[in-house]
Amino acid sequence: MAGPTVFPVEVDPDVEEPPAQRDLRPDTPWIVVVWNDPINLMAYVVHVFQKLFGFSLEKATRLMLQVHHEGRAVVSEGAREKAEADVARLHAHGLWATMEKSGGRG
Amino acid sequence: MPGFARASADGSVRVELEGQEIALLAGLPRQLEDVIAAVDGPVHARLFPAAYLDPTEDEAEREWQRLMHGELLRGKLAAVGAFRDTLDHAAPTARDRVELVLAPDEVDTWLAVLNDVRLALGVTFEVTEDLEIEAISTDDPRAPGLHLYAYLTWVQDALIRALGT
Repeated sequence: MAGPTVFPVEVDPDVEEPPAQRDLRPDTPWIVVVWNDPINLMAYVVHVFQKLFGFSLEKATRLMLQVHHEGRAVVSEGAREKAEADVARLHAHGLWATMEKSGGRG
Repeated sequence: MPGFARASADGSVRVELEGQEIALLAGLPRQLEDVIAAVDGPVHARLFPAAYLDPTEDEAEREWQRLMHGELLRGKLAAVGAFRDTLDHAAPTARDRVELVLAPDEVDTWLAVLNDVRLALGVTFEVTEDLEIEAISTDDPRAPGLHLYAYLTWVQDALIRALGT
């Protein structure tokens, strides 16, 4: 299974924000993506989704199957801090998760 | 036969293991501690992935690693220690068998440790979804590692099944 593709991001060369001011808008929506990998068991992924996010068995299974068949699925969204915390919790459970700005791609 | 059965409605799981299985499982903490101690390489990258893929978020990625890496590392080491403790409390039942009852948090510890070892083995041996471990020849140098991987897959799956019954 190939790793996630890094999509090029267009950067306006005229706008150079100092690092301290990066995206502090609290409402910037971020999404947390779980990627397919050949090692994690399907049942384990369902178990982790239910445990971390309180999803029903049906919803957790649907998201797991989306990861399996489409390569990725969005499992949570929100402010940057929330997304960072969710990514950390997923990593603690061995799932391969990243975060990105919502609307970057569908 | 060794096996798993749900012990009670609170989610604890009774596990019965043969001596050979105990020996395999008892070797995991040391193996995982060695793996976790490595600071780079593909296994490290899989156990401690990046949060941001977007290269314009390099700064945020560094800050996130600075905040989270230590916590993730401590969490994994704590799980290894807790896993070792559960094996130390296993009670002999019959000849060459032991039984242990895993409390719900201990079940989670087992799942996490089994998963981390499986990730390390899977990355090391470049496991794919259609790998047929039964087809690996016994003189293949990967055989011991892949057979351990297959056994741990079986244990992890059995634990999750026990939770669902």
